Amino acid sequence: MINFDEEVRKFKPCLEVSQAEDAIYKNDVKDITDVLEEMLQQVNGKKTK
Amino acid sequence: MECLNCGAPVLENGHCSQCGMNYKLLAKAYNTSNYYYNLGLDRASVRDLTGAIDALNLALKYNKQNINARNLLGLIYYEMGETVLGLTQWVISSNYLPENNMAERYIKEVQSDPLKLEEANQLAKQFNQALAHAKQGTKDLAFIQLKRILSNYPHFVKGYLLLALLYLDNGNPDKAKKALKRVLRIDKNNTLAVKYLSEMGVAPKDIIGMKESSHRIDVDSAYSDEDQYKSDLETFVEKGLENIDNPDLTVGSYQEINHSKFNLIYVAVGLVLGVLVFWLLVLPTKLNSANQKNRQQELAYSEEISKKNVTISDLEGQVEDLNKQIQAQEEEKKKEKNSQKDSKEAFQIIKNNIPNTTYETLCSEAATAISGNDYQKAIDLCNVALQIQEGEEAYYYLGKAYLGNQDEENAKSAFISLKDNYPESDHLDEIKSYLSE
Repeated sequence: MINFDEEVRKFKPCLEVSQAEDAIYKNDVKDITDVLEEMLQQVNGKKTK
Repeated sequence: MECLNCGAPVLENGHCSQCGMNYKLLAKAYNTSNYYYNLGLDRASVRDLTGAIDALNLALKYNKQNINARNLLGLIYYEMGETVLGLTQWVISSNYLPENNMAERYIKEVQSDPLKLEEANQLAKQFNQALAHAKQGTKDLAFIQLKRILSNYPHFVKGYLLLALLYLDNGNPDKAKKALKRVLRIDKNNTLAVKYLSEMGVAPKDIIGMKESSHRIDVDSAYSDEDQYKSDLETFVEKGLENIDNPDLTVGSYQEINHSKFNLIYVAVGLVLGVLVFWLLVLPTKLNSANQKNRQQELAYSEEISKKNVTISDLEGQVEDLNKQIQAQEEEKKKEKNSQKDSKEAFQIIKNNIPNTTYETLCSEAATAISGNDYQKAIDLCNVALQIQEGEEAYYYLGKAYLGNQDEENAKSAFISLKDNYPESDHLDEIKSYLSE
């Protein structure tokens, strides 16, 4: 049976226009390239040490 | 070969000469990203929007600069009524590729009509309000708000889902089903809609049937479908609860929507009521207050007038007193003048009646004083004698007394007076020598 309170809690508020700027700046999703770059930096860092 | 990340040449060992990335790995990632984009595109084309969103998000995880995937993701959000989310994706996309990007066109299209943007903002705000009402337990308000939203935005999937949830909670599975069917028409594989339907006991067969009906919608017939859909929605929103068994809970909200048809009548009745209220309640009170003000002003003026009358009467009394005083003073002056005249006359009478013996006595005393060398006394006596009566003796002794007092000028004037007034005086021979000097 569906629990109304539980289900309602899962709903997230819609983005308003005033919040769009923040959403754009916070949209920092890492892709494979970012992960590889991080790994390379770590490897290079270890080598220099 | 050029590096897919930075564009620098790739070395023979398969690594970029600039950033050091492994070309094969990157190529694999980019291919996977394109694969998921294609998957998302396929899903989107059959209105499996939720599936498309999942696939496109995966595509962006492999390559966040996959412009097509990002643009399509924005488009799907826009289609589901999440305009701001769509805009966000397009803005990021146009940031990665500023030229020859479809996202630019989408953004311009949305921004060219400020009303559209404002409507999208209002939609978000109203849905958030409805969600807050639902969370707080004021479900009637949430119903009203959601119906209003959905009558204006028939593609708003989130709104239908919340409405269906509210119907389910309200014990109206049929209305919930209708709402969920709308969701499946827009988003064929919406997981929440499918979940709610299966929880409601809808057979998987029927769910598939619902999906099939949504599959029939093609691009060419979308517009007419939308019209039909909109009219269906309006019927759904306006009449959805009319046939409900339990009218206590939700009939009220539908009646409110029906009432909106009579807006003009309401406005007219409101105006009439407003005028009546003004005429019966506001106007009399204003008149009363104006009358009271007038009365107060009258009282204040009458008080001032009475005060001024009192001061005028006081001043008149003072004027009368002053006139009386002036009259009295004039009478006194007259009396004084009369008394002065009387005293002068009396003095003249006394002066005339004073016996010559006094003059002679004074003259003889003056002569005695001169012989005793008391010249000053002699001068005083002679002056007194002259005031009583002019006589040659008095002038003579006065002159001699001045001589004795060595005041030759006064002595000379006294002798001249003697000579002028009494030219035949016996003393003239004696004073000749002084006169000649």
